[in-house]
Amino acid sequence: MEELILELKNRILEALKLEDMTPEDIDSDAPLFKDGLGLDSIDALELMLLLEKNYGIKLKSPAEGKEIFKSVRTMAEYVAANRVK
Amino acid sequence: MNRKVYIRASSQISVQEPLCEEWMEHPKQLSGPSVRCIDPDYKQFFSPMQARRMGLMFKRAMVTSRKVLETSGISCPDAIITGTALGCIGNTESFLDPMCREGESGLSPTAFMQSTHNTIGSMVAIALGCHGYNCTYSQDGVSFESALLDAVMQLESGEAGNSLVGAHDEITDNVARLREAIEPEGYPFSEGSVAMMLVSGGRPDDALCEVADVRILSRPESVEEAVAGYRADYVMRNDVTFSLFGRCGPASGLAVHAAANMIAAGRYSSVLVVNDSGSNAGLVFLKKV
Repeated sequence: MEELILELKNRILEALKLEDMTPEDIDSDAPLFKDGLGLDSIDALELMLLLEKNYGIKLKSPAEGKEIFKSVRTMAEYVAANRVK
Repeated sequence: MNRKVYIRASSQISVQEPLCEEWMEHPKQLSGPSVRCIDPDYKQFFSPMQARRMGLMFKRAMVTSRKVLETSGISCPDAIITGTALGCIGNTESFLDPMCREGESGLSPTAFMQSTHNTIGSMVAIALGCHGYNCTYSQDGVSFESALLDAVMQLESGEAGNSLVGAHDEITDNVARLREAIEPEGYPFSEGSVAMMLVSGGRPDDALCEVADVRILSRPESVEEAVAGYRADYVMRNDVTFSLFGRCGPASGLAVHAAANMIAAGRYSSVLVVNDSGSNAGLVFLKKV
């Protein structure tokens, strides 16, 4: 799981163009949106795209991502359970 | 009666030293087929979270705009008017390249929403919280003059009391390659960002100069006739402009910036900036306050 978490952090940094941040700057259990990393609705669309491109996971709506994108850890757990590639 | 219009503050990021005017004493000599901007360290201006959705062109536009707002003491302008020849061409390429490679599914929403010409003007407005008039002109070589003319008309008529006018364009490897192939001879192709605060009414002592006239001519062959109608201390033509800033969309905006600063420094009492390299021509006449 920790390996997948690190992989996701690197993909998030790349997808969201967080150029001056490192994986260590992202707390695995902190909220990705609002108070945590501070992402917004456009970022949510980028994260949906990240799941689809890299793991073959297609979410039906951003609302579905609400639980999945709570933190990098919840994201990794969902990817581990649902990935098709 | 029309109100007088002044440039109160102006800032640039170009192939010359950015965010200052010291370069005017010893301008950099340009060489090569294309030249990129000298960028300041943007980490001083934006946090990683703020910078995450900013392309280079937007960072330049935001930094020049903020500097102008700071210098002029105006936090939220009545109008934001932008001129750009190619818009956010870097983001446009970022959006179109994956579409060509991978088809129409799975495209980045960020690249999509930032691929339009009016991205810069609207993002500046969002960042500043300005809900006033916002317009972007894309008229090739006279994009800046089109934006300036709109601002001047609004300020003269009293529609706006101040206006943030900008000219922004970037050059990508693709654009540079195409331009070099189409026009291999001449001054280097380049890029740049210039922002200026225009104000109307009164006679502000802190203004750089007065914008006495702006004209766009659709028949460049009539330019010399028009130029003869002005009594200017100095006529700044394309050869001087391009030797300083290279060939780029905002070149005439950068020329106006340089001219305004030369007038403020007392080198000339009036300057006519002539931009007649394209199918349309622009004339901007500046006078000392």
